[in-house]
Amino acid sequence: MTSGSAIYIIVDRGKANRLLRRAQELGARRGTVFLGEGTLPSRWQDFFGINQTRKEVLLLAVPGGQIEGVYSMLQTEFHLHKRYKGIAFSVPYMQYEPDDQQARPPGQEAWRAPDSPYVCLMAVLERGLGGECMKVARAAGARGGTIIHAHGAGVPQDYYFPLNIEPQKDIVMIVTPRASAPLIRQAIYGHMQLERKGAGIVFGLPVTRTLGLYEERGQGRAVAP
Amino acid sequence: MSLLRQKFSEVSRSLLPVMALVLLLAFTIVRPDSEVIWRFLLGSVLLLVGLAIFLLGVDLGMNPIGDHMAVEVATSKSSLKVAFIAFLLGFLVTVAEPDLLILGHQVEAASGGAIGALPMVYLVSAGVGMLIIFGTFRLLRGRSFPAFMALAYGGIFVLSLFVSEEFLAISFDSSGATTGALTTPFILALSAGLSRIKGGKTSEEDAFGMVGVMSAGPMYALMLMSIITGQKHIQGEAAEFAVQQGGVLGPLMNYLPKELLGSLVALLPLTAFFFLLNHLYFKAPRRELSRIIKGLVYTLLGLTLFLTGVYSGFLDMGQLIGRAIAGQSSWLLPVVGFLIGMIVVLVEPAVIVLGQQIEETTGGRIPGRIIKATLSIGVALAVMLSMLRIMIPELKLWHFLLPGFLIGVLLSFRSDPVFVGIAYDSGGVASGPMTATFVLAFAQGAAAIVPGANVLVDGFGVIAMVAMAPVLSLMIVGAVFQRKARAKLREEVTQSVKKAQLPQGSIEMYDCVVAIVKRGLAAQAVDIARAAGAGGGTILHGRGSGGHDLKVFSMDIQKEKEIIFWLTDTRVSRGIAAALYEQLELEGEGGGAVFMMPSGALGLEHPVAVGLREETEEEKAAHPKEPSTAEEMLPQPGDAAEEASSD
Repeated sequence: MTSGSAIYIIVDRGKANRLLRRAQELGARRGTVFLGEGTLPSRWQDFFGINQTRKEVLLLAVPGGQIEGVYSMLQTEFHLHKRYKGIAFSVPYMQYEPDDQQARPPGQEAWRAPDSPYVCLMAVLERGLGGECMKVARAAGARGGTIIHAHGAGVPQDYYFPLNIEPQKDIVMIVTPRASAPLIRQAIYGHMQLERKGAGIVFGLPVTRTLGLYEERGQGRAVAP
Repeated sequence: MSLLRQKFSEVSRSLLPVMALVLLLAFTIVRPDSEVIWRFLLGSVLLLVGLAIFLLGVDLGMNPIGDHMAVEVATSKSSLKVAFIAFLLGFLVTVAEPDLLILGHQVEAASGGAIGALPMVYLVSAGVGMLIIFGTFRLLRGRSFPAFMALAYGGIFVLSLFVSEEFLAISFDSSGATTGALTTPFILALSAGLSRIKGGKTSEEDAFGMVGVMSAGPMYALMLMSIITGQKHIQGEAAEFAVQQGGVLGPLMNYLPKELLGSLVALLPLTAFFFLLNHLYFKAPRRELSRIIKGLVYTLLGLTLFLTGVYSGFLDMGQLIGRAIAGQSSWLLPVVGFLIGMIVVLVEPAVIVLGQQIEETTGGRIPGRIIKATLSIGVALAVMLSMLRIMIPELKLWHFLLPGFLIGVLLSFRSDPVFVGIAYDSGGVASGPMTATFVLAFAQGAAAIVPGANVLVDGFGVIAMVAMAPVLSLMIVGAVFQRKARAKLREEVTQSVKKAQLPQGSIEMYDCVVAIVKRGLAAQAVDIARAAGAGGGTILHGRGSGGHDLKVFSMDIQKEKEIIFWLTDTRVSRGIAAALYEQLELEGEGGGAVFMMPSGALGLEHPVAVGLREETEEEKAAHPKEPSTAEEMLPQPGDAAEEASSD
């Protein structure tokens, strides 16, 4: 088992490739890019009716020793500590490797970061409900979020033809302080009626480090990385 | 007959306050000849009957025509045809508008013949046609309406920097003239039809706004004309006022044939176009066609009676009231202006049509009464401010118009979307025939008495103000509505947080297992994971690199990837990872990877993942061999991996 940080980096569309190349030079093991939509309510973007911003989400797997280098690169070269330049956050991971004979880790182990300052809430919902979910989350105290289009794995149906219906999904990703996470999560659960069968799920990942996240509008300070 | 009676009661409810106010003023301050009062009473009766019949005609004739046209436009296969029909509709309803021709003659006289009346009418109609094209494309493409209107008004603002104040006033007035009694209901019906066909979530808000779009057309046309021809100043005096002669019935007899002819001409082009298209495409059934023809006849008859009543009974009265009050005392003028604006706008035909359509389209969510109340307060303030402007020459028209429209446009981004469309419509809707006659006459009467006021500029300015004020007032109400809705949502969210019964599952800990595989392998991965004890996964399409990228012409060609994630019990996640790793042969550079991220033990009072469901009995029965949920794996957590591979 190799542990490290999965760094999620959300930037404007078109930037991810350059970022990925630089990160790999710095020792990131693996990077995957997918397309998302930002939902940050900026007054000016709202004014021009373009508040749905097109984003790229870069998922980097960075081994423990290289994390510092990647973060300082993000700050000096991509200025993520400034507003509207993008955000980055880390979720601890374990990579599975077959030669690893170690016993299965118990739940409360340190790498699980049970007391991380931030939480990344992920809601998987029916396609088209991402915006609605964001509204609810914002009403419950979330600051912003990113919507990614995905599809479900498809439950095999009992049809005559072997059809796998792939339900289209929206994933909403919200990074929020640990203290406000329960309220947002419950708001999404309650208001998006996730108790209905198959309506969706919401879960949280611990976030150990962030860059470029602003807690309050106007306060103008980056949360310490 | 009940429909007609309903129209009668609706019209009389709005008309009675007007009559009460006018008669009160007539017997206390104005004291005109009894002849004028009798003509006013007769005019009111004609207005009542005419408007009721007209509204019936709109229901029977105009609305179905608008519907048919909307279907034809929206279902066209080429964008050229959409543009062509949209342009023609805008052009035809405008070109025959009698008010526009009258304005054209005024402008021709005032400009000393430099601007011909007919070229101006064609130009304005073409402007409307162009804007209807843009509006139709905007609606069908689903682009943002506030942004569209902000652009349209931004353009008008830029152009207005290059034209004189007189021309600005005339441009606004021409937009008031084109949104007449006939065009507005038709355009309302057209956009309602278009939004119904387009459907979707925005169909409510799409039903409104086309009148607002249309009313920008004349302003563009006239301002561009002023800039291109260099025509800047318009001199001229309003015609000398004289109370009409000929007894009680004289003016009526004078106006009736004129209005009949005018209304007929106004109705003809659209009707002809409809029957042409009907012959070619719609082929409406006979019954419907006969209803439409009846409706058109009602429209013609009602409009004629209405306009005759207004011109013969209200025009003189307005002038006399304006003169008398301006001569009486200065503070009374704005007050009376406020009252007149407040109640007269409710007798505008288009206002009544709009109110009906709002209730129908929103299914009563937005009561027509709120809109009407907001509209009448807006117009009341507009007329009051116009009176102040007449009294204080330092106040210019643009002192009100510019900030008014600016705030309106800004608020439109913060307003309830349905209100935005209605607000932009209301400008054209409020500046209809009643404003153009009674309120204008009142203002001109006052301007003629107050020293230093310019009858021409101040008179025209009133209509511009009436067109602006309701836009602003409705935007404000819309913004309040929106705020309330947001607060309501917040409240509901809090409620649902309290109500939400989070399942207290037996599983306290989850892992988020993430697999990154080559595109196309996701389905296989899902099956493997399912066999190893995972539930359903969620798949993302991504691109990425793990290892060496392919280079083509020094461009990186990245590999297409699929990312799948599952939420699994911590006790089975390792088994799932092992199964995925082995069975997908992820070893080697660039093959793929499996990660586990902790999702659980977050110190929260409930399990972090909610909404995960267990498979139902039927589903279990359908796949009896696969241990498909984490629950089933629990009895032998230690054997998860082996069991998965033996499966």
